[in-house]
Amino acid sequence: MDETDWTDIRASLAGDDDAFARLVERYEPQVARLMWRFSRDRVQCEELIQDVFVEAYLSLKSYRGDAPFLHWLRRIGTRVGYRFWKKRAKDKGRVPLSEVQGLAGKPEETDPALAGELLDALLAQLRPADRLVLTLEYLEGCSMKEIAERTGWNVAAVKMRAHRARGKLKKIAERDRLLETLPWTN
Amino acid sequence: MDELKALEELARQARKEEPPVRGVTARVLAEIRSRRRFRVWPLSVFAAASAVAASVLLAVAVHYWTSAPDPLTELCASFEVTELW
Repeated sequence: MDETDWTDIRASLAGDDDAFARLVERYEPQVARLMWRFSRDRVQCEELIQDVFVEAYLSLKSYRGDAPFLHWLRRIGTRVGYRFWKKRAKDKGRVPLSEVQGLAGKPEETDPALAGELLDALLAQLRPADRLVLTLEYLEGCSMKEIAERTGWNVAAVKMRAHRARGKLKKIAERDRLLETLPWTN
Repeated sequence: MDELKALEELARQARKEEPPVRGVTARVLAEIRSRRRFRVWPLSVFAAASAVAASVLLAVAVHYWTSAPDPLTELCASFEVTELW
């Protein structure tokens, strides 16, 4: 546990807003990267980041410090993002893969934003729980144990869900002809 | 290459993406302050408003109680006490 974080957390609990502002500034880039996985709309994403920090502030008393502050923030971020997806599950739009253009000839030359957009278009077709597991696995690089810690689900359930979700995603990718969209797979 | 391998390659690239979002520190602090005000404000204001409303109601009730003729007195006044015997 970072001593600077502890100092700022204690000061925040005592009512020092500047201390909490320092925590926000310190962890905002990491939280922003996580919340970008949940919404690729800039305004919406900023609202989600704000929700994460406000929720963190309101439950700051419950932070015990047995894990780094960033881990705790990421757990809150995952919960906020998942709640957002569940709320919007009915009105999600679908971006056809054929509309995604400008992919490079090699995977490592592909624009990260374009790769993110393409992946998001595919993952968005899954149910929120399946989407969450695969988003954390593919885009956050989490292990099954880490996904279980972030979501509060047990490891066996996460493994099972990930396995099924991968199968569903493969079918979606086949139906949407993903391999034809990617120049480097031919 | 199968679909899942292709997705993994895409994910590897997507992880490098930097989100185009602006700083939210000021907004977070504003939201926290407004919530804090909201949490303290209604209790104290509700208590003060309730006390004022109760006092006004009590004053109005006392005023009417003392100024209006007592219906029981008026009813008894129409009888002669002797008639009752």
